[in-house]
Amino acid sequence: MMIKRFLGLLSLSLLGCEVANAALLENVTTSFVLEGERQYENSDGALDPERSLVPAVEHSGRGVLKLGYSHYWNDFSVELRSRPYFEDSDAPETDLEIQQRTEQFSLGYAGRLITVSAGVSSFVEGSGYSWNPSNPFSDIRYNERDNASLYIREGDPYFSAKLDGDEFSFRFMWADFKSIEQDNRLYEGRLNSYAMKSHFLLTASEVTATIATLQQRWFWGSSISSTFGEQLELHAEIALVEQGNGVELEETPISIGNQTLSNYALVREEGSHFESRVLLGGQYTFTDNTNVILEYLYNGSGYSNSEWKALKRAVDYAHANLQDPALGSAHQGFLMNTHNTVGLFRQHYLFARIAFSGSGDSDVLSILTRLNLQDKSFLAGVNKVWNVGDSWTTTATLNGFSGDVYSEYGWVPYELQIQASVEYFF
Amino acid sequence: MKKHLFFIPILVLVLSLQSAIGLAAQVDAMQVLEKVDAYRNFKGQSFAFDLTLISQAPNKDDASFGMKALIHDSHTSLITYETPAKEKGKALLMNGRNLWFFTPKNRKPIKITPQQRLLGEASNGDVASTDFSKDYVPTILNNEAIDGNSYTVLELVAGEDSLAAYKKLHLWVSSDTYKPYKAMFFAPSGKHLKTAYYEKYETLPYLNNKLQLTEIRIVNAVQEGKSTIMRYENFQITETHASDFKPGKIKQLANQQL
Repeated sequence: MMIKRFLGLLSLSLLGCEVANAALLENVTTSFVLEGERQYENSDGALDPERSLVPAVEHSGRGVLKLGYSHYWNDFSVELRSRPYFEDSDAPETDLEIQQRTEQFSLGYAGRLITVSAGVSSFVEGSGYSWNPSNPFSDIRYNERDNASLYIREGDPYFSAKLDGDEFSFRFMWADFKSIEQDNRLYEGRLNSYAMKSHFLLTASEVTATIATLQQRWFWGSSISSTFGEQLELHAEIALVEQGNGVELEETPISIGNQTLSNYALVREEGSHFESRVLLGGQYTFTDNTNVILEYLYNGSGYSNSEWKALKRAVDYAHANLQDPALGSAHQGFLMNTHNTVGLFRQHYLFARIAFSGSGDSDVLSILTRLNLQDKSFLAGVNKVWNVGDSWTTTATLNGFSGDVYSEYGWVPYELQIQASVEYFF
Repeated sequence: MKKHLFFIPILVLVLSLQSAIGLAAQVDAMQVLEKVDAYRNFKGQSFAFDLTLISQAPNKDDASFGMKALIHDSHTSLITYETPAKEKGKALLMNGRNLWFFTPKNRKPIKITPQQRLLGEASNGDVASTDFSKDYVPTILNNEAIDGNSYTVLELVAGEDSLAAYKKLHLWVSSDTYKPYKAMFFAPSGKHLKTAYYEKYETLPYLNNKLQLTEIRIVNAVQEGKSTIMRYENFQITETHASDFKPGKIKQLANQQL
C-alpha cells in the first residue's frame, strides 16, 4: 500500500515537473530527489540512554521536488522557491507524510538605483561558510549536513527596499522572523524585526554592517571578507546580540509532603544582556583546485564550562526522577528541550572542510568536521557527488558523531548516518 | 685619472641610449598587445556572448557545458551556466578580486578564491579577463618561426596592483596580423601551469565585420591529457552598470542575459 502511494506521488511529481518545464521554459530550475538514510543509534549518550525521548529511526526515505521559478518583466519580477516533499520512516506510529515548504515567493521591482521586494523569503547572508552570526535572520541550529548554507526552511514574510551605488548598497528590511528554534518550543511567536544593512564593495574585499531590532531587542552585526592573491580568502563575522530570547537552566525546588524535589527547565531569560558571536575563518585553494576551509566559531550564547556542569547535573537528576508521578513529565520535557538544542550550544568550535577536484559542486569529494573545543566531541562527514550523464547526479554521505557520554556530540542520538540520494534535473 | 674620467660621459650616453631603446621596445610591445586585445574584446565596451566549454580528460567522455557571459570590464563579469540541466542556474560573479559562486541549491552566493576553476582547465579569468594590455607590462623576448609563420614572443608580467589572474605569461603573436597564436601561463613560483592555443577567428557581420577570436584550447601543463576547449559565439555589445555586479543582484543580472 505504501509503495503504491509512493509511486503515485512520484508520478504526479514527475508530471508536474514536465508541465512546469514545458510551460515556463527558461526560468524554471526543477529537480527531483530521492534519498534514503540508514542510521545507527548511539546508546551511550547520557541524555537519552534508553532512547525513550527520541524514537529510534533506523531507516527513512524521502522524495523532494525542488521547484525554482523566476520571471522578469522589464524591471518587475516574481520569484518562487518551493519544496513539496514526502517522507516515510520506520519510526513507530509514523506514516507517509506529504509536506510543502515555500522558501520564497516574492514580487519585486528593480530599478537602476532602487530595488524593492516583498513576499516571503528566508535570508542566508554573511561571509562565513558554516555559520553566519552577523545575519540577524539566521538560526543557531544543529546541522549534520555539509554546511549551514544548504538548509531549507520556510520563508518569513518580509519587505525590503535597497539603494544601490557602484560600490555600496543600503538596505532597509522588515521581517516577521520565525527562528526555527521555535520548533523546539524554546522561543515564542514570531519576532517583529527591522534591519538596516549596509554593504561596501572594495577591489578585493566586501564589508557589511547591520543594525537590527528583533522584537525590540538590539542586534549589531558586521562581516568582512578579503581575497589575497589568487588562492587565499579570509573572512570574519561578529555580532552583539541583546539576548532576550535565549534559554537558561532554571532549578525550581518543589515541596511534596516533607520531601523537597527539584524541577529543571530550560526557560526564556527574563531580562536582557548583550552576548557576542564571532566567526573567524579563511579558505585556500591549491593549484590542483583542492579547497580547504577553516573556521573558528565563538557562540557567546552557548553554555560556559560552569553552566555545562550544572546542565549535566540537571540531566542526571531528571533521568533519576523520570518516573516521578508529579514531575516525571516535566523532567521528560526538559530532557527533550535539551536534546533539541544540541549543536552550537557550547561556546567554542572549530570547523574544517576539504574539497577535492570538481568545479562548483560537481564531482566533488568533501570531508568536513566540526569540533567542540570544550569537550572535544565532534562530528565528521564525508560527501561524494557523482555526475551521471547530463541530467543525473548521485550523492553518498557518511556522518559520524563522537564524544563521551557527557559531551555535546556524544548526546546526538546516532553515532553513524549513511545517506544516499539520486537527483534528476529537468 | 683624467683618462678614466673621459669614459664617464660615454658610459652615461650608452646607458641612456640603452634605456631609451628599452622604453621604445616596451612601447612597441604595448602596441602589439593592444592589437592582440582587439581580437578578444570590444575596446572598452561591455559585451555578452554565449560560451561552450568542452572538458577533455584521458579515459573520460568529453563533457560539454553551455554558458552565457556578460562582461562589464576585464574584472567585472557574470557567467551563468545554461546546460546541461543539472548545471542550470549556477553562476559565477566577479567584481575586482571578489568572486562568488551561486547555485540554486544554496540560498547565498558563496565567496570563492580566484584560483577555483570555472570548469576543466578554464578559470574565470581565462574567460572574462580579455584585456591583456590593462593587466600586464609586456616586453618583446624574441621572434620565432613556427610552421613557416613568423611570431613575436612577448613576456607579460602583471603590473603592480594589477588584478591579473597570472603573474607571468609568454604570448606568441603573429608578426603579420597580430593575432595571438598561443600563450604559456606561469604560477608565481615559475611553474608552467597551462598553455592556451588561440585556434579560430571569425568575422562578425552584425558587428561591422569585426574579426573576433572564437575558439581557445587550454591544455593542462601539469596533468597530461587534460584540456578544455572554449567556443565563443553570439557576441553582442551591451549596456551594463558597475552597480549591478553585486552578489545581491545575480538573478536580476542573469535575467539581462536571456
